[in-house]
Amino acid sequence: MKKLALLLVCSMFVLTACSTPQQSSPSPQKVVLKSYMYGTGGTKDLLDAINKKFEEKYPNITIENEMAPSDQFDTVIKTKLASGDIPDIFGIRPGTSSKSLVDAGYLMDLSNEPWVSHIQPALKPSLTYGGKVYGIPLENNFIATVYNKKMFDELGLKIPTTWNEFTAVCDTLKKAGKIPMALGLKTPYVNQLVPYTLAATIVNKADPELNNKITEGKAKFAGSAWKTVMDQVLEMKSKGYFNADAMGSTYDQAVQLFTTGKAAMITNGNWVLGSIVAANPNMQLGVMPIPATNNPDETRVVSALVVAMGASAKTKYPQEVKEYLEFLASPGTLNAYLKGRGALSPFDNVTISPNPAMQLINQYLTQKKSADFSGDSWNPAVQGKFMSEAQALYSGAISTDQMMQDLDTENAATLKN
Amino acid sequence: MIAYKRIKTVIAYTSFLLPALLLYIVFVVYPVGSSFYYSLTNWDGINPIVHFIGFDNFKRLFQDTEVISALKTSMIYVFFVALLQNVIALLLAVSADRRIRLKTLYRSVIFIPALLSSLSIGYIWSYIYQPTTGVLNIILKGIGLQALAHDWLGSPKYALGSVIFVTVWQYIGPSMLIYLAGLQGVPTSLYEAADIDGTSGWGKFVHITFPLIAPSLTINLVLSAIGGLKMFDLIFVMTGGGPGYATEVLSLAIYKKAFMQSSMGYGAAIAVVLSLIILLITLAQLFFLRKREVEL
Repeated sequence: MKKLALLLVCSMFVLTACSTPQQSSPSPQKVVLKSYMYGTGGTKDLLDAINKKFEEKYPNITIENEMAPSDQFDTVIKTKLASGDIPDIFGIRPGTSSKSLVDAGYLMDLSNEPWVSHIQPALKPSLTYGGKVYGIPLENNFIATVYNKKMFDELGLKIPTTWNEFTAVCDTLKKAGKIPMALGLKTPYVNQLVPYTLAATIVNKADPELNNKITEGKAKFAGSAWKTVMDQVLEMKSKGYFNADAMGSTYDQAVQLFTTGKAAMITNGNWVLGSIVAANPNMQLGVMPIPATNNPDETRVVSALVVAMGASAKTKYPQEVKEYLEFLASPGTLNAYLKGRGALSPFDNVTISPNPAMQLINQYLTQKKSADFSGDSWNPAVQGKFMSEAQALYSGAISTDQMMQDLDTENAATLKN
Repeated sequence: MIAYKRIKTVIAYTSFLLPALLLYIVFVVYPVGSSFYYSLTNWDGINPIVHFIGFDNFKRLFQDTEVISALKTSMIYVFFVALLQNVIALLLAVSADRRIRLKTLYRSVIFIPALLSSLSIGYIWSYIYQPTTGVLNIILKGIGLQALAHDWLGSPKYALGSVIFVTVWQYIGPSMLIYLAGLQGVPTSLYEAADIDGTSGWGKFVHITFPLIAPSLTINLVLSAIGGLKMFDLIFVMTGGGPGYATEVLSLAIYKKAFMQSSMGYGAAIAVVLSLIILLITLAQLFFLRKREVEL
């Protein structure tokens, strides 16, 4: 009994110690905003640098920025939302993936924020649900094929403008003992990038609305331009254009193949530029589109909003959260971040001088020779299925016809619900 | 007075049981119940608005080639894990039961992998198996066995086998210990009697050791089957179920559907089916194995 009493007294002491408010702080209320974002290593440094500037401007607000690798983020944020441990600001996936967050009332309506009018028009639709804007874009993303300029020059290679030229370039690289293109297919999301790159040209040429039609149940994968896309991906694989260990390698290992000069090209989101520069700052780089047909005018680049943030509708500090988002969108804030990520500006009043390596890709984007990130138009379940199916196709376990059929089955199941 | 004392003991017992029971209800019974509830809905994992769709998820999963393939993969995985784990553990236990030098060291070395977290083991083996920079292939190439150096986790042909090997490697220690405990319960007098009758070593194993350690076999087979059927972390870290669907066992299919493809209701339905399968297999095992246990 005595021990129990002692224990009680002790625990009371501990509890009160925890709950004593810090009365020493001056009059403006101290606010801690919790931020949860996807991304790894370098990206956290970039965001933390922005947060530090923000904290200097608003000394009463502290940003607690926690980050998770992209493939783990979605699971954790769902758990956080379900358990009520909701960060004030968190990463969202633009497009159909975030629709249920809006339906569930987790996201704050940001339509009346001053920066909304400055979002690049092409990016706005993927953050708009039912006519209201629910997120802030951090980057104007694109899928890039980065190439080793020095290696191309040494082998006398020119940037290919047709599919035939592209395969010729790959053949020459292969003969020279180089890996034409590095892929890390063990990282799930990487499996969709080469297909989407080719689809930007092939699917767009066949029917720019195909992906949306599939989502609405008005079109099918089977018999569509998607089969041509996957057949061409398989052609690249069977001709040995990818690293032989692509299936057993991760994104980081693929980047390593590129930065150590073993591979000549790498296809990924624009952030791969950031990873490459971080590993080998002296590399001479270029970014090019992959021409998927033999007509150079048909070539398109995948341009999309991939990285965005939303605010919790249930935050205790809506004013401070809005101040933070406004700070993010104000000219000057994002410059270093965008440069580090190799991305373009998502706001029309924020101009950055793009990395010289991005000159060519920039031309495509400014001339509107771009297409959407296919997966964003599909139901999230179909996009998830696509990654698994593409991986199975790369590994030789299924045929392109089987893949189209499986995707149609998955799509039909989501339409039914 | 006696009645009062009895009440007092009942209160004492309950107060000891209650905390554990509460934890069990909150963390096991309630989630199991709600899984069953969600398996009858189309919940996406986020939206609080949930639609009741009856047994549609169950109808769908029996036509879903991914789920059927995952079920098949699970069965192959469990069969080989249980088989290899028990055969090897039994051999190790028999050899560790003798009077050999460094007996404790030998036993500890075999047991150590079971003390490591599955996540670390998964990552370590991913590095070992990496096709170009991994230790395994470097050694194979170094000793001239180029032809045997495969993309262990990246090829659909070898991925499942590679994962099975690591599982067996990790859990062989506890199985061996259970067999060792069984072996030490076999009275030496029986072996002495067999020696007098002139029984061979193999004969002693088949007629004395094996029948008498049958309870250890039962528990080991049941444990490895349950463990194998619900295995998640090791496979998740090493292959994520890939390449394609080559190592996608049921628990991974549940995760992929429920979390990655935002079909929590459908994932829950697969989970309900998985629990039923585990229950059936365990009951069958217990029924058949108990029959052949011998009482001393």
